[in-house]
Amino acid sequence: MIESIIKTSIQKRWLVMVAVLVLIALGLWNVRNLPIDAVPDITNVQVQINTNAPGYSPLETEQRITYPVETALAGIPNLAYTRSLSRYALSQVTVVFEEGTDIYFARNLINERLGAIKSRLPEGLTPEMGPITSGLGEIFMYTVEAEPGYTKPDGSRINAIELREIQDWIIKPQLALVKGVTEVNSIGGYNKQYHVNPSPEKMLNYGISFQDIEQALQQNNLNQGAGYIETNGQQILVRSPGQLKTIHDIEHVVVKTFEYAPIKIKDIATVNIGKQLRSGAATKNGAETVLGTAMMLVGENSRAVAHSVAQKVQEISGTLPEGVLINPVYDRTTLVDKAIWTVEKNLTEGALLVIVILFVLLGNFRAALITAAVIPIVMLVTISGMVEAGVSANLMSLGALDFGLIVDGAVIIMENSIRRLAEAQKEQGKLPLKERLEVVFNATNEVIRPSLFGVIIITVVYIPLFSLTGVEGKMFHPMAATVVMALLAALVLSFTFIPSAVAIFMNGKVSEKESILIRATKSIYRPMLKGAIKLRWLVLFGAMALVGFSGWLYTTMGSEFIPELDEGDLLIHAIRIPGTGLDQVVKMQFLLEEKLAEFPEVEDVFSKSGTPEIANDPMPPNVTDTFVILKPYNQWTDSTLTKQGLIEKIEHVIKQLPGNNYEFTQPIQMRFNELISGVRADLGIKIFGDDLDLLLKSGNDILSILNQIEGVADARVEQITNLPMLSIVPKRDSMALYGLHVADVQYVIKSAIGGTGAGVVYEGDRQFEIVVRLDEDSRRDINYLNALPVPLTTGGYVPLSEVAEIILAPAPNQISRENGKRRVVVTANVRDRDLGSFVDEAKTKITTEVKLPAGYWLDYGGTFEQLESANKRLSIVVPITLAIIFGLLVMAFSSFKDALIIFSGVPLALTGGIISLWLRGMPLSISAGVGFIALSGVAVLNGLVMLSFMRELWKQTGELYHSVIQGAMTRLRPVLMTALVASLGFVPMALNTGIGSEVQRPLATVVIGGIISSTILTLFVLPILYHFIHREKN
Amino acid sequence: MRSILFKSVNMLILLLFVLSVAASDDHDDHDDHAEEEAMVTIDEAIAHQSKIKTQTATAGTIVKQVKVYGQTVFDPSQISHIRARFAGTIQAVNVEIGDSVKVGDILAFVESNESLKKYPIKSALQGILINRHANPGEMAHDQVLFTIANYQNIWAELKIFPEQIDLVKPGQQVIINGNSKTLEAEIKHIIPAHEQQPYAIARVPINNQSNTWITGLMVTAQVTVDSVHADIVVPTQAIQMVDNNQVVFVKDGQSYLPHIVETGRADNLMTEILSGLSLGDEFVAENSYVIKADLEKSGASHHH
Repeated sequence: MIESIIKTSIQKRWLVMVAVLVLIALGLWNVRNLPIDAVPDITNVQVQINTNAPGYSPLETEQRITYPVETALAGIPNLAYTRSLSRYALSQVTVVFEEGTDIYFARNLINERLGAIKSRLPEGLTPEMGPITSGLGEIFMYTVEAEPGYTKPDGSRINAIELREIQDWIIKPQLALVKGVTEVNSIGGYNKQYHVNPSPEKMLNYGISFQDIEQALQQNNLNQGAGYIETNGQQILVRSPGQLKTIHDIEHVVVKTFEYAPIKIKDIATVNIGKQLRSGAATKNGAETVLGTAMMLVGENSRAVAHSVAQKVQEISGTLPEGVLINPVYDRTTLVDKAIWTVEKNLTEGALLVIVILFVLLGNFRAALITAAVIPIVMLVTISGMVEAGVSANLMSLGALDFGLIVDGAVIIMENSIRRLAEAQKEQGKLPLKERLEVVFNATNEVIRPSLFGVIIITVVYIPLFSLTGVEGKMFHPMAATVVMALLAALVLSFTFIPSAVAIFMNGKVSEKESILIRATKSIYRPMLKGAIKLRWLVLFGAMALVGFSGWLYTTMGSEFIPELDEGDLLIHAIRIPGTGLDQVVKMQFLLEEKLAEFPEVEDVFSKSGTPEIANDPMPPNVTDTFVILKPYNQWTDSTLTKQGLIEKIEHVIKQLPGNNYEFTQPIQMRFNELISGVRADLGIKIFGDDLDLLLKSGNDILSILNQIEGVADARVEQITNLPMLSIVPKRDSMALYGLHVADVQYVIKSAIGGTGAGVVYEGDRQFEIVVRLDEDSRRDINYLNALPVPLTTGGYVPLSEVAEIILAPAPNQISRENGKRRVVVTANVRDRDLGSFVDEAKTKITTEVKLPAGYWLDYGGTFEQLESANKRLSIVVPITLAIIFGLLVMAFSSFKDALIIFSGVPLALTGGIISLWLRGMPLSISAGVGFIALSGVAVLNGLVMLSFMRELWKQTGELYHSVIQGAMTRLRPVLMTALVASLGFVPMALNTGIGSEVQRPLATVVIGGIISSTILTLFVLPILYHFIHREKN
Repeated sequence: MRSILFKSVNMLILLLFVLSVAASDDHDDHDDHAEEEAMVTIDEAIAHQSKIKTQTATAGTIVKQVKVYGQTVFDPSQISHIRARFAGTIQAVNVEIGDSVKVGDILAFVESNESLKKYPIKSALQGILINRHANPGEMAHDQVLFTIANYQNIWAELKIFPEQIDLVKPGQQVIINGNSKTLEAEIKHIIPAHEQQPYAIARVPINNQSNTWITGLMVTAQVTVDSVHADIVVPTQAIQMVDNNQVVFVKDGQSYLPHIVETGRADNLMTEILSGLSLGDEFVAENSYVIKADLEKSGASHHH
């Protein structure tokens, strides 16, 4: 079949050229549609359902909101699991769907379910789905600030309420319209509210209750349309405007008439513009600010979207009120550009090196050019493939592309073609077209099988990567997919485009000057090979010793997951003890930011404390995400300082600040962690049940057992940390005496402390809530609450302490649930011990020693589970892959022995990889692992090319020794070429130090080192083995 | 997660190597939490920037107060309802509502029906005429003709609910607030409420010479129920809860040591310290929360 394809390609060569041009055009078109990002998106298919419940404590949130929402979701198709969080004023249910579920389908399903339970939720609360975004979604952040030194005409400074108003009503609506932006989130400042702060004494004086005030405000804040009238042929609309517009309007609302005198709001209360009870704050360089975050729709091109957001921000900045500034503080474009630049640089330099090598070694400019042409064509075809497969261009997906490797097949065919053409021309002079085509066909056909097999084998070795699931899968599937697509494209091109291009363009005299380099190498190689065959035991022993040595080296090396992508910025979680108030946190944050800003390497510091308006990241107020934007490395004053060094310096300084704990991470990394958010420890034991105290007790029991098991590390029970809570418990007997209901008392408490909404003030489009509550000083004073008068239905009042007990006691700060049940997690890591046996021991001990309350159950999870399944999968997939490769080799040679000989190249190749890693002091990592995978492929390919020639010759001549020598000599050039292009193609990657290069460096290092060792060994060990194994047959 | 991937590659490489699987399972990123010492050390400059302020422990007075509400009322002895002694026709009226009258001032003349003689009706109280039901020509029977009230001495009647009744005693000082005016007075007596309401009434005389108070006004009152000298007092905000103990942080050089204290009486601002703190100790009076936060921070972590 291949033969006929080659034949057709040569005959219909112009058609092939046109087809290639179409492919190029398609590729160029697709370049514009290719999503570009820094890293692959590893977020799972999830929908967050947030319900804001102002005033609700964790327990109420769980009972009244989270539970009904969770129950409603049961049985949704494709549901993987649900988990939920109930906090102060927020219920968040995260619904995770099976991989591959369409997110819009999922959201539709949820929407339907939520619609059905609306009536079961407390009035006024609506669950809302979080924005359709992913871990890469936070692409652009900006602050809204007052210009330093600017004062308004009345001499005052622009305050945080005004800034937030500008953010919410001027900036946000505009940014939300930018294509690709799904949501704009705000944190910081205060939502503007009109506050009516009644004085309880004055209320008593006139016998006015909170209800009266609320009712009065609601009844006096209406616009009413009244249809139209027709007068004198004219239609006149009728309306009665009665809405409250200003503080003055509110003050003059009449609450009640008291002995003919109207009592107005101003008689019993003060009205002012007040601050909402906020759940989050933003700070920048030691001052409060308002922070906006543009969130990208899932699947969009982050670079493009961030870019258009930046442009829009620029536009908006001109239209803002005087004295207000909008400052971009984080722009994903920067990172993506840097990362893509790194990749581009690597790829271009690699491609150029490959072209140079091709030219030098082929000694024919046209031939080199044709082979090199494969590179851009493959790239474009791959891009089309990526667009089609929905793979985004990023450090991981493009990180394993090596053009040297890709053109290997083409190189082999090209090399053979020009060799044969040159030989033919030497014999017959200039060839007529027909004969020339014949030669090209033969030359291609001669090597197509080995190169086809080789490329297929390289492709096959990537298969184990596809068997990874979860996060690892998401990281490495795109990489494997891209490489496989590129290899397949190159494969097809090598037996269509290459022969037809050779047929068209190599029409003149084929100058095949073997370059001096090759000739010199050949002259050295021949005696060396002969010598090696003589000293075969020594060589074989040496090779085995080398394998043994690197096998040992391998066990001594450190390991890491994937080398961390340096985002160029820092994110410091500043964590305080639970229960720390937001104002206190902001004060502590000011000091932290001031200290951070003192570092000359730091460009900007800004932070988010607590939860933003849309609770995509529901942090409690005691946790702050501190973004530290660093200057580009080349602007650092101390050029020897590394990022790690800077982190250590920073840590040293900020550790002295009292009351803060820190975790260092990076912006994107953090988002991923937040969204994936499973149990990240080796062993996670989840206890499900009803009673939080019992759960905690069981958790502690399990913890103490785990701590006795050998190899345990970092064992801890999930913090259901206690939050200080003021419980106002009604005294029922006493209330009965005064004729009060629990609800009456609770209403007073709610209005006095939390405040009740009493309508809305409209200012044009803008809407601001009217809130009735006590003034700040009174509502903060716990003693004051004791004396808070509760009005009686009979008139008169009773102090709160008379009808309720006020207790300050800790209560849970959050309630976590999973799959519809409360749970507490005990986590542990395992050190210096086999994870499997640890888990088994833990399981047995827990089963025998811990007695769970009736109706409680355990679930074992954690990394060990994934590890088990991954191991299980890989222990099937890897041998199968090897078997496939071996099968292919056997198929190619119909000889078990030959296949084995070629296979011997693999360990030899790996030695070089390991040694080069060791020389560069790099740990083993998944990236390096991918390098090893690629390497095995290259090694097999080399061996294949070499061996197939020896075999042919041997078959033709029947003389083993000379066939081996001759075969090796003939294949020296292609072997060297494929090796050189493959390794040199990776050189820029191995040396680059730009942003993102840390991901690719180990891979490239492994491949380069491995190819060097594999080539040397292919050139010597393989002929020796072949000769040795087949010699008795001779 | 790291270890799965690592393991999977391990497997691949090892299998390729055709070596035996002997993978290790390293975790190198766990930082050991140093055993926390019950002491916080903060650099002087940073303590200053963190607005940590200290004071020296001294003696002081604890003034315990109870907040109650009430109303101002007339003094019953300072109100006079004047009637005609003999029924008759009112001949003349000399005063208007609002006029100040003295004892002996003639308010009106009435012609007795019996004697047909004119006799004066005099004021028996110094005060203000607040009611007049008399006009010339009208008949005076036994109705009230004039009401004179003296506002110079009025009373505040404070409602004392059962919770507070044990604390509030006659003779205690009261700060009365009403209509944005404040005055200090003393509880005169405590009486049960009218109509068997479930509270008592503390009566406080108000001197109203300046005429700034009116009756019927809702007032709030802070009753000083206890005022004692204490050997050591600290501002209440200096006390923090650490591991269910009340502690005060004592500064020693740059170190802050939590002293577990036993507290005694307390008012809105100050708390008496019975043990755990000595006179002259330098303790953290402001922003002590920061030190508590630092002491407990090793337990603060953020789980996603």
